[in-house]
Amino acid sequence: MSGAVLGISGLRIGVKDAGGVRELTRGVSLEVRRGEFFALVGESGSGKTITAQTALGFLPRPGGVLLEGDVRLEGEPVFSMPEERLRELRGGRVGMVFQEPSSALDPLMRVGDQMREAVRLHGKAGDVEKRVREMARSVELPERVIDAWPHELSGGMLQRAVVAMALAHRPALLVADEPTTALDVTIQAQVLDLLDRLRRETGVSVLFVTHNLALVAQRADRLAVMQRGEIVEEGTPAEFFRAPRHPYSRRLLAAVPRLPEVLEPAPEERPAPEGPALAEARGLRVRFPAKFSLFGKPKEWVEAVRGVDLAVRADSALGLVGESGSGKSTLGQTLLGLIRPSEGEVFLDGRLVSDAKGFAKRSAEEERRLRRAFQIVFQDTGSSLNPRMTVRQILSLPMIRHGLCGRADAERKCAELLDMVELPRDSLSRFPHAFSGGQRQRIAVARALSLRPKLLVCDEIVSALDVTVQAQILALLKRLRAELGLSLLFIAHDLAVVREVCEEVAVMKDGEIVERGPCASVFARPSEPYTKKLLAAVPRVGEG
Amino acid sequence: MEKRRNADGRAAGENLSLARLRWNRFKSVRRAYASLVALGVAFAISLLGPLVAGDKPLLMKYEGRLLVPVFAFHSDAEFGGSRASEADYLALKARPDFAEGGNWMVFPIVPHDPLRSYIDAPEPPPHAPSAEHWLGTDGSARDVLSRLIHGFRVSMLFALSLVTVSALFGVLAGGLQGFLGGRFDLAAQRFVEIWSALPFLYVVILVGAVFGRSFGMLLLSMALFEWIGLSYYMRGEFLRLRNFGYVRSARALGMGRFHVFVREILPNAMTPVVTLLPFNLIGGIGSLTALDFLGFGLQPPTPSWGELLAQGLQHLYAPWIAGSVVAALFVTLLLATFVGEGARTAFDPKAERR
Repeated sequence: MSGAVLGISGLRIGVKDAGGVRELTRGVSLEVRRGEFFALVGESGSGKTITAQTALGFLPRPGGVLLEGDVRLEGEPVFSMPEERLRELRGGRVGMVFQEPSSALDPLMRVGDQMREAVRLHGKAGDVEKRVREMARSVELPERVIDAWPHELSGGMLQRAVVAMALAHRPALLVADEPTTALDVTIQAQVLDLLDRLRRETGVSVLFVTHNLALVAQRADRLAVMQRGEIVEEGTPAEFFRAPRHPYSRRLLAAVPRLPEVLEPAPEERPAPEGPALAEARGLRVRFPAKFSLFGKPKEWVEAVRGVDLAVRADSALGLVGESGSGKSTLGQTLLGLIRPSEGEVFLDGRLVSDAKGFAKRSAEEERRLRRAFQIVFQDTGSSLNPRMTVRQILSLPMIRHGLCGRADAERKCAELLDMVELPRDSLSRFPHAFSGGQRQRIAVARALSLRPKLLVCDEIVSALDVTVQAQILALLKRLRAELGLSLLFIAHDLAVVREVCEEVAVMKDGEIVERGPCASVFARPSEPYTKKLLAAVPRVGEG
Repeated sequence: MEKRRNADGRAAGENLSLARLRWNRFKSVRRAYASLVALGVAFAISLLGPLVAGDKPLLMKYEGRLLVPVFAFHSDAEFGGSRASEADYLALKARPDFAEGGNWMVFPIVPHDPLRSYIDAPEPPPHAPSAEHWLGTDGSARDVLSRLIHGFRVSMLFALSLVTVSALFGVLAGGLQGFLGGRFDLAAQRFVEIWSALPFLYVVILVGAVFGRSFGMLLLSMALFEWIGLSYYMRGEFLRLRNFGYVRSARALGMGRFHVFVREILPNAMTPVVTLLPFNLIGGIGSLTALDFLGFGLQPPTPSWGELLAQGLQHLYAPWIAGSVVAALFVTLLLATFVGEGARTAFDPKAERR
């Protein structure tokens, strides 16, 4: 049986705020057919989540209004349903999976109890215990999970449990809003496979909302691209990837960092850098106390970095990849002397910076020179800039501190920095909240580069950004590298991104470096099973 | 996820500082803004003190000379009296020969000193409200309205100083705890816990008994305890903020500790100070009133609301005493609460994110 499970036509939704009604979706129409995997792709703010949530009769809060249009679930108009009917619909005929699995479950209730609740919710209980076990089995969760607390499970397992609950009543439609964004790539692939299998087995339609085009390239039956509240293109992935019609789609597609199917050594591949080590770690271990005894003495430790030897040489770019919790961020910060190692030694510019005894004593002058030469940019664009300072202050204060400019020529220097990262000069007197995430990340990069460092550590600087913005930042970094002769330690979990900017890559797992070498050879012939797994899990934009 | 903040390109007003945005948001809460203005005006008026309520003329003419007795001392003898002490202008005005000489004087709106007793009135005090004494007089025949105005000034000055001193100390103590962390924080936190367990009222009474009950002494002994509450908030804010990207970035950029404390963290940690300020002010006014009421507050005969309240209780048959001071307290505290509400709205992180 075919036909539309969800039909949205001419949907216009707005929110009321001080300045009247602002339109969020401008006439969106789409149709999800029975048993179909429909992907709704768009950047943040494009209105994709708002569109998807109307399938459950939700409007954005506060102040959301339906201006025009019609949403029908199996032919029945959702927005004219009485309240009880809507409740039956939610969790009954439509299941919902959100982005963050750790906040989708109540931390004070056992997973099993929450699954039982989901089963009982819509009356037709039957044998609850049997059904819960069935549900767990269907999402490939071991039965012990039923008695576990949410905090005892990994993100992937939690998301499986959420999917199981969403499917408890064999809904006609499953709305999945970025369900894998918070997960590591290998887990991402597993959850996607699971959704795919469940769809084939139960015939549920899936409306999959994501910003990651590559993720759905191979799985979706059809996809629609949204931009600024409108669907700009719709079709099968094959059509779409062969010939995207809308300029925005083309831009989106071009921005996806990709790993070539067959990895030939890149033509511009340079020989492994041989220069002096700018930053070097020898036998590095970093531990954090995990549990404390009654008297406040650490009893148990978590080892984030376990015995790493690593050197970043002058004029090179080293990528450090690994899943979350692999210790790559800790390693990066320890390498800059921001975290104290528990064992081993860290050298910057050939001088001992810290070892197990603590940070090496340095004069204030030395400290300043060191800080200047080694810079770091962090992931979180929301908090990387002081909200109380103007961009002028943010950029000029470090330069003044390091004597790179006086108060007089600060203005000119700041303007130059803005030119370098391609931001308008009138940004100087603005405050961080006036900028988007990508723009803020540019400012953070400009700030780090204002001191003319030798080495820049980029700690997941693009992972929170949309693909097109991501591509811009990566291009910027590549250009700056060429212009300034900068060395990079590029920390990321996305292999494709690393390949874009680095010649060398080190793969980290559980605090150890399991494989390292030139990008081309590591990606073409990974020797470690873990690296292979990581590579296999990278979503690819299909070629046809 | 990239924030949507300027995806749709916000119009003018986008480029305001955070402080400015918050002030605008505060002003948009009409009730709070009006309350702040009302409190400010009332405080400003009370600050004028003897220019508003006092028994010395603002300006007078005596035998062809223009005098400003509010600011200058004139003895009784100058006006043909016998005493060398300051002239009693109310009595002078009543003298039959005064007006005859073409002399005149202009009194403040409330022509009564808060300390002056009208004991020569025919009936025993307290006197009911009249054209002379708009809110009547108290048990010692002193003008209630004048004492209210001067008491308001004393209360506000006391509460403001208390809030300022305790905020300074609380910010410094809590800030250092959160900033330095580690052993210092641990030790300081234990000290604060022990300190906060001291019975506040007894200490205030004790200090008053040993060192006397002056304005400064009372302020000091209350400030000794008042800072604790704020230091908890500051400690928490500093602990939270020191792991923020811009603070870590500042450290990585080689900025000094002083810069990180003062420029990076402090301005962002002030939210609890500002939002709690109106409520702390209320607390300060309340505490002073309570201490005065119990007789452990400011030295009599300082005009004070607590002392008036106590009189109101003694003279329950004279409802104008208790009635007026309760009304004044009520209005003041209500206005301050409205201001506090507005401040809370202005600093609402949810509004910030939109």
